[in-house]
Amino acid sequence: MNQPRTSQWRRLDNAAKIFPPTSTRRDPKVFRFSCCLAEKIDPVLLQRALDRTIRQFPFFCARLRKGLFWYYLEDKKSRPLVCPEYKPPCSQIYRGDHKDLLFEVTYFGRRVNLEIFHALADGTGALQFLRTMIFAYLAEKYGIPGRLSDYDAAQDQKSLDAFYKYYDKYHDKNEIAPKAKRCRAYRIRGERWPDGRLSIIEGFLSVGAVLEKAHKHHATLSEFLIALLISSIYDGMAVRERTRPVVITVPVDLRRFFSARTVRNFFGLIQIAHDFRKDGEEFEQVLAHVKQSFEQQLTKEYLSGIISRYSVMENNPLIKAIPLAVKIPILRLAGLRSEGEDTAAFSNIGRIVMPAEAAGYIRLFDVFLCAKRPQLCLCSFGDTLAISVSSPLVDTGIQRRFFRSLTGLGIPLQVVSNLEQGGREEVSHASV
Amino acid sequence: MLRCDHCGIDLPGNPGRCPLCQDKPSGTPDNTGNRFPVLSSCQEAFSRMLLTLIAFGSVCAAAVCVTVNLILPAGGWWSLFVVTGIGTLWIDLAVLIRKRENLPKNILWQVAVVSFLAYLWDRFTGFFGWSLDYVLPILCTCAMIAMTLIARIRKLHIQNYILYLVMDCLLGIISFVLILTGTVRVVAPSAICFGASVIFLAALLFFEGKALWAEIQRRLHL
Repeated sequence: MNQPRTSQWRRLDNAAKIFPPTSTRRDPKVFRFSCCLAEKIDPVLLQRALDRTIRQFPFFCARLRKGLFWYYLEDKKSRPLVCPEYKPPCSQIYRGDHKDLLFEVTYFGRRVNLEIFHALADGTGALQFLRTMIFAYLAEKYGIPGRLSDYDAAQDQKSLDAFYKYYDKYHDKNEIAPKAKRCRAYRIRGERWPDGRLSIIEGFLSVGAVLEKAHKHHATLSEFLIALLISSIYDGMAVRERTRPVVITVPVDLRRFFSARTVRNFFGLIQIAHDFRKDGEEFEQVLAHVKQSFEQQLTKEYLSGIISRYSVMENNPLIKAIPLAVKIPILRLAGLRSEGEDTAAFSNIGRIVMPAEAAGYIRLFDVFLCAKRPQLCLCSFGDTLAISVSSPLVDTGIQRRFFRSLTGLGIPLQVVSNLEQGGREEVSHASV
Repeated sequence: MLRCDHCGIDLPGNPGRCPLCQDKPSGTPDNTGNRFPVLSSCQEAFSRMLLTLIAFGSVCAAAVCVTVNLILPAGGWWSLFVVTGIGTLWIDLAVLIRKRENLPKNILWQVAVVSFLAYLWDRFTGFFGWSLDYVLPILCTCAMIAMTLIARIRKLHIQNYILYLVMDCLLGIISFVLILTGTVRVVAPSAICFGASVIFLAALLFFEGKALWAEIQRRLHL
C-alpha cells in the first residue's frame, strides 16, 4: 500500500466553526449552485470534468472530524462521483460519524448541481469550483481550447483562512463594530413542510429590466430588491405584528473589501432592520432606509470591526481550551439565539462571468440555500437574473407578493418551483 | 409555455399549479422539462420500523412482567430486574446505533458503556466483584484484538483507529491498578489484560509512534 502514514488536516476557518454543531436535518447548512446548460448532461464527461477540477481544489476532498477542542477538516483520499439528482435540494450532507465528503455533484436533465456543506466553503468559493468544473466540461465536450484564466490562485491562497489573516488583535476595542442593539425581529410563522423539506421558488427575469427600475430609484440592484422584499413581508403582517421590526440579514463577501483568493468561508453578516413605525411604511421610505443602512455598514472600517468581533472569541485562550463536547451545546444555543434576530435573509452572489467561448453553451446559473426562514438568493448570468426563494414554510405569501410586485413593474418573469417534487401528495398539501 | 394569468408569470416545464397562487395555469406546457426531478417517497422506513417494533416489544414485555409480578407478588419483586435489564439493553443499543458509522470508536464505547453498566449492576446486586474481576479485563482484551482484526480486514488507515486502540490499552492498564489496590479478587483475567495492553501499547509506540503523535496533534489542536 502506498498510503501516506498521515493525511493532511486543516482547522476550520472562523465563520465555519458555527456550522457543524448547528447543522440539523431541518437546517443542514447546505447550499446549492446549479448551472443549466443548453444540452443534456453527459455523465461521463461530467465525471471527467469533476476529476480534473478536484485536482485544482484538492482540499474539497475532505471530511469533518471532531478533535478534543475543535472540529477539523481531514483530507480524504477518495474520488468524488457524480450521480443523478436523487434527493430533495439542500438535504443533509454532514452527518456526524459518516465518512462522506462535504460536497456532492449531481445532474438532472440539462442541469448540474453542486451542493456544499457551508463549513467547507462559502458562495464565492463554491462558485469558483463550479465555474472551473463547467468550463472543463464544456471544453472537453465542444473542444474549447485554453483554461479558465480569470481565477488565478495557488493552492495555499485557495485554502487560506482569511479571517486569521485580517484579524487585528490590537484593533481598538471601541472601534469594533458595535453589535447593533438587537430587538426581537418579526418572524414569519406557519405550517412547515414535512421531513424538513424546503420549498424553492425561482424567478428568472432580465437583469437589464430590473436594473433600469432600480436606477430610476437611484438604488443598486440589492437595495432595490431588499426594499421590495421588506415591503412584501410588510403586506403580509398583521397590524399588531407591525410593531416588530423586519430584519433582513445580508451576507457580505469580504473579498470585495479585503484582498483574498481563498475558497473557504470569508463573509460577514450585516443586518438591515426596518421599523415601520419609525422608518415609514411607503416603498420610497423603505428604500431610503435600506440605502442608508448599506452606506453605514458597507465600509472597510465597519467590516474590519466585524472580522475582529468574530475572531475575538475564537482567539480567546480560555474559550479555546473548553472541550468540544461543552462547546457544542453553547454554540447551538448561540445559533438558536441568533435565529430569532432576523425575519429573512438576502444573499446576492452577483454577476457570474464565463469566458465568451463557453458562455454560448450555458443558459443560466442559480443558487439557493437551506433556511429556517425565507431566504432569497440571487445571481445573474448574461442578462438572466435568477432569484431563488427557499423557505421551510408551506405558505408562499411572501414569494407571491414579491414576484407579483416585480411583474407589477412590467418585468416579464418565469417561475419554477420544487413544490411538485414529492408527487401528488405535496400538491394537495399546498392547495389546502 | 404555461402561464398563470393571476400572477402574470410564465411557467416553464409542466407544473400542475402555479407555485405562487396554486391556481391552475393556462396554455400548453412547453417541452423544456421540469426544473426538479420527481422523487420517490422515503426508503429509510424499514430500519426505523424495525426499531419501533423492538421498542414496542420491549415495552410490552416490561408491562407484562410488572403486571404478572403485581398479581403474584409471592416471588419478590423480580420484575424490577426485568425492567432494569431492558433499560440497560436500550442504553447500550442507543450507543451502538449512534456510533454505528465508526467501528473502532464503537468498540471503544461499548467497552466503556458495558463495563460501566456491569459495574452498576454488580454494585446494586450485592457487589460480588464480577464486573471488575471478569467483565472489564475480558472486554478490554477482546476489544484490542477486535480492533486490530477489523483494521486488518477492512484495511483501515492507521489514523482511523490508533487513538481508540491506545485509549483501550489505557483502560486495560486500569486493571493493573485494580490488582495493586487489591480490588480485584480473581487476578488472572486482569493480569492477562494488563500484559496485552502493554504489548499493544509498545507495538503502537515503536512501530506507529509518528502516526500516533500526528493523531494526538490534530485531535488536541487548540
